[in-house]
Amino acid sequence: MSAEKDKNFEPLFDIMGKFTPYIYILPTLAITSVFLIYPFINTFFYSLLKWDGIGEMNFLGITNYINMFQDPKFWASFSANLIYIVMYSIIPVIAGLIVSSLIGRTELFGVRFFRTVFFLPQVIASVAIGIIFSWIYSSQFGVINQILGVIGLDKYQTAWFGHRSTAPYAVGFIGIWLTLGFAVIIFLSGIQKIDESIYEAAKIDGANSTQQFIYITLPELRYEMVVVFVVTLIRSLSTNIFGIVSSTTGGSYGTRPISLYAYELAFVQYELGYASALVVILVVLILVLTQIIERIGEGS
Amino acid sequence: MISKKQVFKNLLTYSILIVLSIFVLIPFVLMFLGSFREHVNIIINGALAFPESWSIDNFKEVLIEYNFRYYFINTIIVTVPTVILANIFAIMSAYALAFMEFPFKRTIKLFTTVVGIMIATPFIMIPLYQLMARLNLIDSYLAPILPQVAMSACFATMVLRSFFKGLPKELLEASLVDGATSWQVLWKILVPIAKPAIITSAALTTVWTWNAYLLPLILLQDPAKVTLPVGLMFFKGRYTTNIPLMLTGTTITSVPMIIFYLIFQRHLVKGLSQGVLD
Repeated sequence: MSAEKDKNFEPLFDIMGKFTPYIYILPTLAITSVFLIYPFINTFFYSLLKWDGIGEMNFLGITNYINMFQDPKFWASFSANLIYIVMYSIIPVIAGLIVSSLIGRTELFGVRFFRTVFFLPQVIASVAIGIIFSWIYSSQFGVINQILGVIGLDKYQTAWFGHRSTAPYAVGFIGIWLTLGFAVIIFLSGIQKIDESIYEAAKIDGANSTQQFIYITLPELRYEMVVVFVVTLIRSLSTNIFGIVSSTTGGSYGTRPISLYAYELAFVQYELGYASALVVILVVLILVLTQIIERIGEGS
Repeated sequence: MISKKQVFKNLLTYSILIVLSIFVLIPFVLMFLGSFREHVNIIINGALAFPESWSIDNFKEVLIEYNFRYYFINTIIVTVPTVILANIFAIMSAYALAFMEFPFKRTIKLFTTVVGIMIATPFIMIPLYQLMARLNLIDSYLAPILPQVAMSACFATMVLRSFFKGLPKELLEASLVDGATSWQVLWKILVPIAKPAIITSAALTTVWTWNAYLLPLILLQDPAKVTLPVGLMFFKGRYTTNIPLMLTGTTITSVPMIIFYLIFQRHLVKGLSQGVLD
């Protein structure tokens, strides 16, 4: 941290003497404190209450949390989220690793075009994505069912969003579409950075391409894997999945994630306390999972 | 001489890339083509067919009769001030965090970067609604703007701080010797140099604000005030049966960001792939 001290410039303290830095930091600090940190702390406080948002607050203690663990709807949303973690995060990371190592260090023609295409889903609103896919999956005039009909697989035509056995996976598949290209680009740029001589040395030692992948590529891509895991994990639990599910199934047939259940409890049923307890669990889940990923990424 | 193995490798590489590109692009092509079709033609000719004519009637109908022109303007009203404010705030806070020492700096830095970025909308939605209601801001454009500014400013502070810290200290020393004030040093010397980093954070915050759904959903309840993603969901709720009109609304929502992405691609890719986790 000595580098920090090096960059301390006394002559900069000219607006209000030693208070100058606070003047510069004030707008960001103030708006962050009032509109992010204060409500964030309040979420924890609310989770201990029974409150409809208008009437009197009743202090419950941890009752909301106890009730949550006995609420089948909570467990349903929890297991929906587990499916989304697998399909938004784990599958795209694994598939992205395989695809990008197959491409490897090839000098590519048209790399800019592919990068442009693969990144495109990242700039589209989640609800817009959801609406396109609700047509693709639609039972009557949908794209998938029509293709199945054309190639003679009529028996597989189904209401994709209309059964518990298909709906969560159909929604989860959108995550693969959304993230696979993103993962491939990040991993490719990581692979390009690996020193060629490491591979040369391994080849001389007689390592085959699978061994090279496991012992060189994977460890060297640690940072990139952490980036993709964390970004996609947060998506599968937080705002992105909220938008995708709202605009596709609306949460029915086992597709409702924790964030949507909490929203419905708070803004439709006015159970602010219980909803906040769900949010707290969501926060804990995200923090624990991202910490685990970052620890694994740092170690090994 | 190109070896057989290399030819095979290239063939494999390009097959993978092309298949993956088609996989990514299909939904966009379907959306775009679908927004020129008529519902009855989807029923007759099926989902996979070209538009019967390239008429822009759907766009006229969605923009005028279904209020998308207001949603569009509302989205701009929310996005532009958010991006400008967030980045001005961030330029200032990154400056202090990069070049000045002061008490409580570590804590302040934590709150205005990492913690702010970590707090996602669902984490605060319930108390935030209560707060905005108490401030009498529900249905005011300020309601989605203020928290969005906070989230974006924290992200931008992190990006700009690490950029500032990478600058040679001689740069600041030289200008300070010339007798410039700290305010002048920031805006006349640092900001022009930091232009690439500022464009990166501004481009990312633009896309986030434009696409935000949950924040305007809870804070703007007047249908005349909602932004495109929320308007699109209103529309879906009411007219689910007309597929081309829904796709037209989706096109109107996403095409501005697609164009924006094509213009600022380099910055957006850079920001999304490294800035998020500095």
